[in-house]
Amino acid sequence: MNRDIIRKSLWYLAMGVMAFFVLFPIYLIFLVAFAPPTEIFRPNPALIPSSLNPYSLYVVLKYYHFLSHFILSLETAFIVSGICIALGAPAAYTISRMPRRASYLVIIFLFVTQMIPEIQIGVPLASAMAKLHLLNTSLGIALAQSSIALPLVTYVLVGAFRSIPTRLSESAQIDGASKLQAFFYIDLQLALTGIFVAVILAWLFSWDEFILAQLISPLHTTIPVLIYQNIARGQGGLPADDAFSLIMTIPVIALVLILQKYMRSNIIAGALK
Amino acid sequence: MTTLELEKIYLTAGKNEILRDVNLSIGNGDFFVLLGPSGCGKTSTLRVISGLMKQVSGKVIMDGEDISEYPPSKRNISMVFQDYALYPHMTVFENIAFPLRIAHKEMQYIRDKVKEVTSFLAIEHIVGKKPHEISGGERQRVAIARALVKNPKLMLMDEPLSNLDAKLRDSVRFELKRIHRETGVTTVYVTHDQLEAMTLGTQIAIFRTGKIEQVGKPMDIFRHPINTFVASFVGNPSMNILESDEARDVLEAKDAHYVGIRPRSIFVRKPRDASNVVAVELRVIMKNLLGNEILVQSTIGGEFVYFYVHVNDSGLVEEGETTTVYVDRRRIYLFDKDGNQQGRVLNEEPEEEIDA
Repeated sequence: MNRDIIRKSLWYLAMGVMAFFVLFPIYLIFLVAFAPPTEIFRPNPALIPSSLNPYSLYVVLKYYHFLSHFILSLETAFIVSGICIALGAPAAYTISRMPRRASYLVIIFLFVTQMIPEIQIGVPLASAMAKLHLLNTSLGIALAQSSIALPLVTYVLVGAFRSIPTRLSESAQIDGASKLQAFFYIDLQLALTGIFVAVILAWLFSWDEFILAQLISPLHTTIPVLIYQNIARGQGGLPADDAFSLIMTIPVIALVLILQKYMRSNIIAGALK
Repeated sequence: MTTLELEKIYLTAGKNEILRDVNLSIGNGDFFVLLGPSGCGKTSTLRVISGLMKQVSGKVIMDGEDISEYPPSKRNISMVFQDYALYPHMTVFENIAFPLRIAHKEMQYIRDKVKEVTSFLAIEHIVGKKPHEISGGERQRVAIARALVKNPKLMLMDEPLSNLDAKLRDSVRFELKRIHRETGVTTVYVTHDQLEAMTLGTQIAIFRTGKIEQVGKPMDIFRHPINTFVASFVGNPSMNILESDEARDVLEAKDAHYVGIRPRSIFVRKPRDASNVVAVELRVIMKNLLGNEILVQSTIGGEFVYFYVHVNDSGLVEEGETTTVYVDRRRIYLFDKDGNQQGRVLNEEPEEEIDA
């Protein structure tokens, strides 16, 4: 009896500490965005503000054409996720069903693009986008970012597909499914958790990505570039940075919350033996 | 009506020959068992029949039609895998309905059909559960239900009992026999367990390193094993196979190279009709009490001989002493130096005498 209580309270204590580590920075962002600047910008800022006002949010929305940058960033992130899943999932499935040695070689090649610093491939990519008239467009940024994100996503998905026994697809084929049907009804369904992780990975990568976005879309900037420019130029006395941070965080949290209910561990349980 | 023919099936994996010109003929309604030790090619044969593996050469012929080029989905077969291979994201109902859904059957038909097989296999109460919520035995019934639901021409089973615990295995073995009797579906069954082969099979094919050694009815194989491999593989306990001069001398088998006696053909008491009996002196090494009988380890000519005695006869065999046992001459198997059977078999013996 007693041991149960101790175990439970230790469990809640641990959860509390974890939650604090995760939530406190988010609270700080929230605080800085909403609290009166006089209470924040001093040696010992107050953790509980005397009042909240959305002044900095108002500044961001009013003076920065914020919405168009926000939409560009969102578009880009979703296109990157789309490209990565559409190309990465079939590639990953094929790689996962290859003999080990062959797949190892392919995976090594996948990461060749990763070995070159972004800044170095960024300029040639930008000139290629210029020829395609894709400068300052979400598609242009997304294509460039995908060259970095796609190998990572593919790698994550190879792991996801490898964890699904080939036996299940074989069984489906014997039950009358074609290879393609077996892939859609069995392997793809079971890889969903991995696919959602990959979506979040690609999405987050694009959402935060700076160098390629800066080189390919210098006029119509994504939010990270906008924040950078704002800092580099000086704020002109406007408390905008933290409002930006808050706004950048909200879609990320929303995405993770939406997708997390699809994330299940041990999805294969009960399939074999 | 289903018949299946394998014609000179040849299969390799890299440099290894997996199947070397396997020929088989499986008749309608057969429960055909592929028996052999691991790595002998029996599972590969099953996978070639299913279409999951493609032979290098040779033909798979079903009902007179060459189906060698058909993908698994076009062969109208079903399969029960050793590890069941249930779809973990689907409920038991969806698992069983899957073959019918893929075939675009009507929902009402699917419901009726699933109800029919689930009641046949007594798993109606778990149709709403997911595979991870049910026991191993239930999972296996689900796998069998899924295999039966589309009325396949041919049912393939790959060691379906090997993942069950021993107690469950016995009851499921009887259950499989019932299923085969009541559905009459032509079945090909892979196992390494000779007990399953003997009890379930209407026909047995014994595999060894990619070749078939012998095909026949279980009792025919048991009675007339064509070589020492088959003789020692079929029958439990395994046949005693001896090659010492002393053993061959005593067993009147000087012309043979190997001489075989099944443990159950050795008696410590002299039979009433002693006309065909050979008396043999054995040195008893050790006795293992198994309940109402004793497994005795003994030697002759430096080779082990195993046999059974009833507990009441325990006094007739004492560890470290010699004892005289009696063997029916007609139950002695003779093999040549290549292990092939030569001469003397118990042809003249009426069937009902064999109670091994």
